[in-house]
Amino acid sequence: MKIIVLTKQVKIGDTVKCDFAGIEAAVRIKEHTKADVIVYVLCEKSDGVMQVRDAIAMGCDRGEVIVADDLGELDIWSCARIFAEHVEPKCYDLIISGGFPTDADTVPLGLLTANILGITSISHVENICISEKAGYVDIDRRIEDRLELLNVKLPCLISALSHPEDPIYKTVSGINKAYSKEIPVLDAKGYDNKAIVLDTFKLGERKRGVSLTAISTDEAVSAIIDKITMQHLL
Amino acid sequence: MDFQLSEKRLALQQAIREFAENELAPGVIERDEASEYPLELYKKLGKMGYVGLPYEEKYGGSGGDYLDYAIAVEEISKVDASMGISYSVAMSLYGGSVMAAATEEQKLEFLPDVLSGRTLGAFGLTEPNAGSDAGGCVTTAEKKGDKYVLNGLKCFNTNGPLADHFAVYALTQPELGAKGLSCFHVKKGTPGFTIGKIENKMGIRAAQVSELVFENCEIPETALMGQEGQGFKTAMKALDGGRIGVAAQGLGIAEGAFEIARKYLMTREQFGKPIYRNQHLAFKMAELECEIEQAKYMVYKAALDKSEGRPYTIPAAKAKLVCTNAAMHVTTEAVQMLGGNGFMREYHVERMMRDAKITQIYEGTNEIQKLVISGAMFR
Repeated sequence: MKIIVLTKQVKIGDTVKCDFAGIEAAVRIKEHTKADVIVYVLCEKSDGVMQVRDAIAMGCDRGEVIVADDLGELDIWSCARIFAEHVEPKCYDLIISGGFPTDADTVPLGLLTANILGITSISHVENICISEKAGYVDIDRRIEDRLELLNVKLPCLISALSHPEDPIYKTVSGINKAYSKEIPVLDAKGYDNKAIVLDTFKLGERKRGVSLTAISTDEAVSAIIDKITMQHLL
Repeated sequence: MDFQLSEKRLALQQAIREFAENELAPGVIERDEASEYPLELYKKLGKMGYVGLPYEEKYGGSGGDYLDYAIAVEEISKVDASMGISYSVAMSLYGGSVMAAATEEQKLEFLPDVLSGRTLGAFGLTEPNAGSDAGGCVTTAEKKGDKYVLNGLKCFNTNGPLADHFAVYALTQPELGAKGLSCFHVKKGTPGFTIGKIENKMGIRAAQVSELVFENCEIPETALMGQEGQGFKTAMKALDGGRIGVAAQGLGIAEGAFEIARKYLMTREQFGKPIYRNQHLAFKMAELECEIEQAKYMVYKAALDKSEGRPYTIPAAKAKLVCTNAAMHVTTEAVQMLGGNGFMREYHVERMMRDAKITQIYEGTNEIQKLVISGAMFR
């Protein structure tokens, strides 16, 4: 089985955030299937080399870095185009993208990439395993308070959820392998940015609101008006 | 001279740190209170390849070097000094004894289980009347045909109740004293070999320390590692490596306590301000940081000396002395700086202070280290 992992780094201020959810999901599958796993890290400059080495140390087979100098300005569609451009010529059964912390905790990057490639995509995947039915995978998909069980034909793209309760550690043999090879660094291609992200900055945490129950519609409207008047919005 | 760790070593350091923080830190207080060793976590560390770090892959190791190993002991000991010493004894003292004296065939038989972390190794040298005077052992190994018969008692053996493999030192020619000492490999379960008293200790309480009792214990002559009479040299060589392990353990304990104190000083407020704003405490932390940094360079240097084939007896003794004194000093100061909270278990530093004390004692007391260092000076 050939697995491709797509992950995009996000720079917030001076901090580069790396998403390992897809990498961990691929390594979990590899533990049971001996799959061949290649990782693509989309980043600015060559910051992704370290993440590729970490991925190999955790159990992936190899990886490549895709550099887009203007990554901070790119919209999700452009990122998806870059991934699709690099993945399209490759042979694969399964593509895994992460979910967090990229894309503001949503998963459009994976969905859009799958759309360009013309393959099925499944978001919010909690667990995945090879189905008894040849050429299929069994997927547990978490949607808010529900778990959906799916049987999906390969090839497909999944957006994996992270499992912080069950971390995958780098092994010594993995580290030796990761530092014994050159990591290819490629230029991003195949994209035409339509929307520019001017800036990204961290927001303060949202505060929990006040819940008013068992009141009439008029009382509710009045309470809301009072609240926004107090904040000088009205 | 290069004071920077390579990217590969940093990755190794980060990986062990993550493991220690995620897996060892939860439950460390409970294990200390119950004197319970986390054997399954040790085995997990072994599966990831971190146990046999300083030894070759053909013996079950990971093909790293002694600096990798020292870094691993340091990171583990930041969180759990009991695991730190258990690991150090298995690698430096048991593994070190086998590596120093055994034949190739013996290494291939005696090492893989221990270096892969499937089981633990232990080291039996100390006796009730032979501590710093290690040559004063009275345990005997009498040759009878194609066997040796062991009789005697070894004490303070870290990993004793848990280990499957033991490096045991006994007199083959008692009349020669230290020159009649020989090194043997003994397997758990050998008739005549039992685990005696399990010690109830002040610190490193999760580590299991016990007596080893030999009563007409017959072992094959192929269990002799090295030549008869070479045991004292083998033990001293293993202890040189062990001192690097204990130095790294001391460094880790000091760093662990320092970090807890640093965070505490930033968050604890008295008289309307964080207490680090009291210059007395801030200056104290500056001094402790310098002490830790000098300790770190000394143990890293000793580890590199060993890895790169340079003489390391004196660097190891110096590192052991400095790092373990730093452990005791930093932890004591940390307890003081945390005030009443520092005395309470949930703040960890009181355990670290109890753990630190033994580092000044085992693998040769710090007075013995001064003997080694000054002995070389005035030779």
